Amino acid sequence: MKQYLKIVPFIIVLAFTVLMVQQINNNGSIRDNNLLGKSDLVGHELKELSGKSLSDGSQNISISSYKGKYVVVNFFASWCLTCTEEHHLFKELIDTEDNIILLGVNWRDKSNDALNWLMNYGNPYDAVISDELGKSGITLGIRGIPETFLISPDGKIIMHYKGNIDKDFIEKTKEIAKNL
Amino acid sequence: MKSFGLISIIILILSAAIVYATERNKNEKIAQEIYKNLRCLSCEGQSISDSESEFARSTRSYVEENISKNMSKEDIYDELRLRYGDEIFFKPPLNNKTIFLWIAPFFLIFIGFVALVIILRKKNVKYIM
Repeated sequence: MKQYLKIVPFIIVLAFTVLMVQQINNNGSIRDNNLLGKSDLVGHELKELSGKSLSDGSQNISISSYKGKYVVVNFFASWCLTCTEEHHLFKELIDTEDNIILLGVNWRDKSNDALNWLMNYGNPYDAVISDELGKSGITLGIRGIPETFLISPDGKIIMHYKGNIDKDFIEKTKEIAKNL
Repeated sequence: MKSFGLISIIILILSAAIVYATERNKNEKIAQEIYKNLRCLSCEGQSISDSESEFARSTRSYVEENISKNMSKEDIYDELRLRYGDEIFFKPPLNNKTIFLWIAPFFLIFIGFVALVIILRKKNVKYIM
């Protein structure tokens, strides 16, 4: 019996360590960074996303003007290499879907660099908001770019993709937009 | 009479400048306090006050804007918690989700101390003071 008692402290310490690791995981310090739709904000209403137009600084763009339509919001910048990699997929989405609005948010970038980038790689966006200070990004809980959101016609965030999008995102978005 | 009017205008301008500067200082102090409690999520181990990453700079702009909109510190924390969870804070709040993280170090030290006492007693170690 005494032999068994010796391992009790070991079991307690082990159980405590397991609980501690589990809590660290739950609190997000070790978090899978590329999960479709698993953002903290999915299901929440996007109250507002607005800013000056990238191409015309005097014009204001607001997501509220697209209410009633599915909106894909993509955060990008000319200095972001991964954004270049995913860019062709947005062109593919827009070419095959008329129901979707593609709203670009140019995050922490210089307007001239962004406009040149769009000229080089093509501009699939219906409108682009200039977010030079990055505040809109924080409003949507982004950690870096690229990040992409799908907003429902009633203004709710239904998907959040961290990192570059893939074919899976495009297919899911098309499928959802068909139901409109 | 003319000089009296001029002096009044100068006093008014100076008072406005002092009020503006005081308000700005107050906001800056609140902002610094908030920055130090927020973790830079794109650069582990640094606060947004210490980091020059894009995320840290954006979060500082976000906080600054909300302070200027007269949002309280707690409301700013709540908004950020909604977006990033407790992970964004250097000092996570004590609740049922984090209770083990808070008490675990003390518990493990206690277990270690008890184990040490038992081992020393068994070995009958005598201390020379």
